[in-house]
Amino acid sequence: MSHTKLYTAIYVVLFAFATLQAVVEYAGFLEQSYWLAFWAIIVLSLIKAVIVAAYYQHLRWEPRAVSYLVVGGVVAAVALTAAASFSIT
Amino acid sequence: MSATYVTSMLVMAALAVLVLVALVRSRRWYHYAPAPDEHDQLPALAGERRPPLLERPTTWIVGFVALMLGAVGGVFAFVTNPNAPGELFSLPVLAVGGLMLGGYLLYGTYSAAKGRGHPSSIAAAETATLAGALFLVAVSSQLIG
Amino acid sequence: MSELPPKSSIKRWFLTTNHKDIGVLYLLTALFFLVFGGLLALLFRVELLSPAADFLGEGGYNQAVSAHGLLMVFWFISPFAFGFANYVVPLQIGADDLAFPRLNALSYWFYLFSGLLFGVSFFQGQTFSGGWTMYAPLNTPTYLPGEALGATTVVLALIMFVTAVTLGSVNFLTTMYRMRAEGLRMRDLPLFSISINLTVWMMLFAFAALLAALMILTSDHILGTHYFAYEIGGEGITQGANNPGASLLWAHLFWFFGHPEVYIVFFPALGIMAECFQTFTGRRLVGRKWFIIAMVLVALQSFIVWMHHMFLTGINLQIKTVFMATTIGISLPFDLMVFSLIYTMIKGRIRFTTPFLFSLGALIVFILGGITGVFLGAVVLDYQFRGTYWVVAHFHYVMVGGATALFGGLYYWYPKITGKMYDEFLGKIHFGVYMIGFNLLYFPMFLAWETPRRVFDYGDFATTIALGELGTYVIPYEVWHNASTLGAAILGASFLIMFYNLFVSYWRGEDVGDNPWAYATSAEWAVSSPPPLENFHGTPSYASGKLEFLDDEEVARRSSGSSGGGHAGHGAAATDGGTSTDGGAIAQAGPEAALATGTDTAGEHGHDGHPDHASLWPFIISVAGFVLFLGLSGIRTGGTFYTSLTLVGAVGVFGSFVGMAREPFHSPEPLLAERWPYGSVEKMKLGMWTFLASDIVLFGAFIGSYVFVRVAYGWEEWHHLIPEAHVTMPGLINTYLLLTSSFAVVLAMVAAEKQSRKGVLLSLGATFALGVGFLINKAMEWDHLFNLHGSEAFPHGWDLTTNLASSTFYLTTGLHGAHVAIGLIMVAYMFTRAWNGAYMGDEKPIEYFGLYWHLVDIVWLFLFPLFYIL
Repeated sequence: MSHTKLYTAIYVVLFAFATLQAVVEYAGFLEQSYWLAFWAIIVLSLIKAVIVAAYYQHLRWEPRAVSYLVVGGVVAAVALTAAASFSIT
Repeated sequence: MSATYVTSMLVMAALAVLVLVALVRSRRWYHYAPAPDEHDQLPALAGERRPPLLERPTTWIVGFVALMLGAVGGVFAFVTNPNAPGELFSLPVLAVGGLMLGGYLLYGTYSAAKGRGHPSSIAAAETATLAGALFLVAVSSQLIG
Repeated sequence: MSELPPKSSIKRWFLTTNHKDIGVLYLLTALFFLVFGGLLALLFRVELLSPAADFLGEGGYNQAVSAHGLLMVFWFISPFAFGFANYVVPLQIGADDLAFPRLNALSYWFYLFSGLLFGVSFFQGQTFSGGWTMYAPLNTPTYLPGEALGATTVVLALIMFVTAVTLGSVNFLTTMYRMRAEGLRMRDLPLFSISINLTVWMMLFAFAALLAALMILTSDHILGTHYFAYEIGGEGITQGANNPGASLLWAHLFWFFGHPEVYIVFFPALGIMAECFQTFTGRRLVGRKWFIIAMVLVALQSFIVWMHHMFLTGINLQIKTVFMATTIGISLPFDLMVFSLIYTMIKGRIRFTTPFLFSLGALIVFILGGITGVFLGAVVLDYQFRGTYWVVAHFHYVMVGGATALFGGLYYWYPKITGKMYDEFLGKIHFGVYMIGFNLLYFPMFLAWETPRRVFDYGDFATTIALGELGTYVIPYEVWHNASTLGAAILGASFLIMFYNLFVSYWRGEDVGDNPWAYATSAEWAVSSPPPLENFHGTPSYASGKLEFLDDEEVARRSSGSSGGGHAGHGAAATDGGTSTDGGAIAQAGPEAALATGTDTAGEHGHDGHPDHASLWPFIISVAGFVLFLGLSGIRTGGTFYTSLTLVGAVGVFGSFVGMAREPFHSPEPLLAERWPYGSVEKMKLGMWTFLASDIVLFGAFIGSYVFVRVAYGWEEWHHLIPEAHVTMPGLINTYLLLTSSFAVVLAMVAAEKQSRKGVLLSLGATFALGVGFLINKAMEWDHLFNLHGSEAFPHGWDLTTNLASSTFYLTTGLHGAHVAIGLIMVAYMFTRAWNGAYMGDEKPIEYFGLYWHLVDIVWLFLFPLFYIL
């Protein structure tokens, strides 16, 4: 089925992004401008995560209610982390 | 101060009386005519075979009396012999005694419930309730004093 | 093992997976914990008769207070509500049982055994004595008396309890979104079911945060990590504390859970109040639509108010202001609900039956408690009230107010459950004595509000009443506390009336028919009392606008016309649940094993479509879990006894999970059902996704904890805590390994679809090998770090107990590694089954496992940069 090709393509993309993250570190961006590199790396992780969720976990083809369920959990965790961290600044 | 105590005592008493009266008057007990209960009668009188030892009320009554005598005797012995309390209250004695008492209570509850016609699941639940009560006694003694 | 023995046999109650039986078990067990918690309260109320240490022994007071709180909040009130939920919700939605009956039984037995674990803790030295909120660092072994053995047991008992709750929320959510009767939209559900639905949504997300906190605390107790200790390597709290985030970390995690928890406790009571108000005023709730909207709003808002429990900690003023605003905000929907209930009374014709009296009493008492809570939401007022009896009085008015409604529910549904009517007069007496006791107990606490919490020496506080010319009256707090103790005794005694009434009525009460309550309209009143095993004769349907029961032919006709009542969303790869598309003959067997692997379909074990109702595995798993956790409690300090318990328990748990997975158990989904919005997501998949949502919050809280302590410590100074030897490469390799193994699982799924046994075996084998590679790589890395020699900064190596960075690194990545290991066990199981020919044409079990495995991969995608790069 055509899905095998799609899954393989996704795998290659993920592999590339993971390598990109390591490159960001090895190229020394962290020393130059820590916080910019920080957010770049986090965003890369986020992109990878969304790709795995959308394609490998099929969320692209499931009803949106499932994605909302997952997003709900993510939002709860992020809100807790962000609010707690902000509360001690 | 004492006026307050007396007043509160009277209020409490009035409340208790109210509750008691309400409870007494709620059931039509004066119309109640007890029906003969086959389980309580001595089966020998009813002409049946003698039931197993554990199912006879006599066994349990005698056992209970013996236990009480033992307990009272033990306390008496302890109180009158201050020089050697150790052996009497050593851990093995207490543990075994406790287990026997507990076992007596639990099994007694179960067979009493069965004897009253309760199905075994409900009898087991009643026994479990008693076990829970014993547990609560143990916890309380752990926490107090 | 699928035929249930009769209710009179003891065996049945250990085997049953039927929701009604489990509901009864929950109700009875919860009532025991009510008595247990109540007894503890009576003990410390006796202590409080005078402000001196004169009754409970050393540490006895602290233990009694802490245990009272924990037992009442966790082991009494929610399980009591869920006893009703278990019994009533499937009936109200028109289902035959819950979606995963064995998991339901497992939830109950985990609950019972977690309570037993708590009971054991009293005899392991001392039980937990740091308050029910378990604040850090008082919750760590350094500050707990003795070896903290009992305290560790309590934390483990809570973990077992949270497991039960999580399983329960997955179960209820899947049930309510997959098994509603035809025509019953979510908004049409009876109010009690809606309240339970919102409760389990809150539970799903909130308890995951608590689980994270408890796991971290357990790790501090057993593994020696330092998340909640102030001074690492020294003693006690010092100025130069090198873990400044310790106690605030616990506070955030706990209260993020803790605030939704109080609504989790209250919502079922609210649902019962709504039901009783409707039935006994003879009319539908006024503003029903808005009532539901208000409940939804509260459920959402409950997650954004938690810092109002932390106004007196070191959080900044801006965030305190924000949370004050959100707290005021959350009282608004409650106002709406209260007015709705009041208007329903005004516009209806009231019958003052016992359930109604309790519901009305609950409302009144809740209003008082709620208003005093709004005072607490104002920061400046909270500065005075925090940690005093004002708070204690407030939360008892609201929580025990909720419990009051639950007792009303007990009277309301007692006829349905037992088929007998309780004595109405005794019920009213109970209500009277209860309300007198309740108010005599809790109202004086407002008057004695300056008494500090958790302290029995309340010293010389007194209430001064200056009446000008009439004189000044000074009433020492002892008077109020004595009144409270008396009230406690009266409240406790009132329960004796209830127990007597309900017990005797079981034997001698009048028989009732289907509906002893006129004007009750939800579906549980349309069946006999008690209902038959499979609830309904025929299939309930509301399609015509009212309840009807369809026969099998009609069901087949209606279900083959639509696609299971669900909506669009048929993706290319997603397969339909095979429910209605089977043409109505036999519904697809739901392989509801705890693991995401399938067992037999209906045809294989020849049950002819009859659902199973019996399984011993939930009981066995719980016994093994009890042994395991008991062993874990003493594993740090207790020698061979505890270690051997741990080993036996671990083997037992593993073996019994395999046993449960192997057991053929048939729990079919209904052919005809409302399924919005999860129409095309079949039962197992929906269950897996809800579980994963909870797992996301769990990992999120772990990662959040790391972020928080690092922010508190100083984000960039943190690098000093990490040895040079901790390099990126092992993490990068692990990233590639996991990505590839995710890919392999996807290939396995495709191979199963194509019915290629070799393909399945190869890909599953690859998944396994790659996962093992991940773990070996990790083990090598850890071994290297544990044994750093010649490092000046870390002469003893860098292990779990070294410093804060090592604690967070090893625990977070370790939790992830444990998830990998569990996944590998599942892969091994699936490989064995595939070897024997399973999964050909049925790729769904592999798909479900894949969902889990991909989440594990996604988590690593965040762990890798956070712990290796940044």
